[in-house]
Amino acid sequence: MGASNESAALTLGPAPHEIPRLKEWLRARGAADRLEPELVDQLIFCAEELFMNIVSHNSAAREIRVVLDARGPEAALTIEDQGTAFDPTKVPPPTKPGSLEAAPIGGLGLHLVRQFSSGMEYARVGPTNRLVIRFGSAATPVRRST
Amino acid sequence: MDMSVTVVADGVQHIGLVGAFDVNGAADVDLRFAALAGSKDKILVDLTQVASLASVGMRTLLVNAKVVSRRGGKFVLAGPKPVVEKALQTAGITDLIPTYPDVTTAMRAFES
Repeated sequence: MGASNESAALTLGPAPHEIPRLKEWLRARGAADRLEPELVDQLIFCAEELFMNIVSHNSAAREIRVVLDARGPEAALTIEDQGTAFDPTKVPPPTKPGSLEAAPIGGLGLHLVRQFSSGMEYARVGPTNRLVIRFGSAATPVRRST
Repeated sequence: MDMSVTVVADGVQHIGLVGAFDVNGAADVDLRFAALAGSKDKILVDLTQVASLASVGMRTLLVNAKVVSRRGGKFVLAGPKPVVEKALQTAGITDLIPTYPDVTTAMRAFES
């Protein structure tokens, strides 16, 4: 494990208590692949937001699979679940509020993922929601069985 | 996430947070935070020891800042680490809640 061009996968239960394990796995992968600290921060932030979106809004998801494909300054993070079909790329961005009182309380997670990443692609593959988030200018990730 | 509350100069409630302000961290502090925001008009949230801030943590900050603001009180943030500051700026939170680089500077916001 830890070769710079190897993909790796983590399977999590759909529960908030899995977040520390998700973060630690990404930190370990970041160290093994010698990723820039800022990229690791972005990966952790985005993975957590998207993981919690599934946990919070897709009760049909029984497990969540995370795959990281990192190559130097670029990375592709794939998040899969077998919950109800949902395409987060279709969610419109929030409008900027003019005041604290007008500011919406929710909806920040996806907005922030878009800001911290260079692209997001969704596909429904059979029963699986598959979301790929790119950082840097990562090419299509190599899919390996694990 | 750990939370400490200290009354400092001018009756300012200094809320010290330690750890990850994620869904688990927010669950640890939400009730106590809401109780303070519901009754105190001068709140300084010290983020110097917050390692990371997720959108759920931003929600806690926004909800409580609104409560204090509606009463004419002041709710400020202080000392975010670079990764936290970046998240706050990207979310536009720093345009809505006064945010200062450190506690000393933030305390000046409460001077009459």
